[in-house]
Amino acid sequence: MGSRKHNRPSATRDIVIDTNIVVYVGKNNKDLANKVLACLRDAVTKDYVLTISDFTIFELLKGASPESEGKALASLQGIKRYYVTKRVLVAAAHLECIYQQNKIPKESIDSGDKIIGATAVLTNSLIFTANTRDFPRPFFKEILAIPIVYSKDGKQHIINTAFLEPDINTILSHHKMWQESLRADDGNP
Amino acid sequence: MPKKSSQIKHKELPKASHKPDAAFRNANGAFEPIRMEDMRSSASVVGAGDGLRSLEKIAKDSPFLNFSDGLEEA
Repeated sequence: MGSRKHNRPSATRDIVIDTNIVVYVGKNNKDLANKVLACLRDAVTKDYVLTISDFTIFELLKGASPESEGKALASLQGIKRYYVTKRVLVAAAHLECIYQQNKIPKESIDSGDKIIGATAVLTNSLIFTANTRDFPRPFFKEILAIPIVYSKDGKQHIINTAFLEPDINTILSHHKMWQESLRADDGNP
Repeated sequence: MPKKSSQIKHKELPKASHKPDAAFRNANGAFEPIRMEDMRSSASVVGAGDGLRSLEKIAKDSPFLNFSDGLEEA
C-alpha cells in the first residue's frame, strides 16, 4: 500500500499584539524596535500570525500627530485586525465582572486591555505585551517572559515583555461562579 | 523586575500548534466553546507574514516618535 500524502494546512495560532508593543516598535529608538521585532520575527518562524485588535488603532491614533496618523494607518493596513464586535464587548464586560469578583479593582486595568484580553480569549490567541499587569493571573498565564535591554540617551533601559495565554478553563470556572453568585443575589435557585 | 524562574514556563516560544476551541457565553447565559470559524468573519484578511512586514514598516517610519511615556503604558 502506497503512502498517502495529506495536504493539511500547518497549525497556526494568532498573537494579539498589545498596543504598547506597537508603540515601542514605532518610536524612534532603533535598538528597542529591532529587539522587539526580533521577538515577533521568531514567533512568525514558529507559525504564529501577528494580529492586533481594532481598539489598538484607537489607542495609537489618539496620541499621534496628523502626519503620524497617516503613516500609522498606512502601515497597519497589512496586519490582521480583529474587529471590536458585540461579542468581543460582551466578553470584555464579563472579564471585568470576573476580575472584580477576584478583587482586581476595575480601574487598575483599562477597558482597552479588557477588549484586547477578550479578543484573545475568544480566539484563543496569545498576547504579546509589555505590561503583564493588564492581563492578570490566573486568567492569563505567562508562557514566555522576554526582558528587553536597550540603549537610550547613553543609558541602559529594560522593558519586560511577555507572551501570555488565556487560561480558558480558569476563565470558564470563574465565569460560572460569577453567574451563580448573581443568581444567589437574585434569590433564584 | 526580572521574573522568577518558577514563573517562566518556556525558554523559548513553543511552536504554534493546534489549540482547543475558545470560549464564549451563549444566549442562555452560559459560557460555551465556540469554533474558530465563528471568529473568522470578525477579522480582516491578510496574507501570512504581512503582519511582520507592517510592523517593520512602522519601525522604519517611526510614526509614534512623539508618544508620551503615559501612552506607552497603553
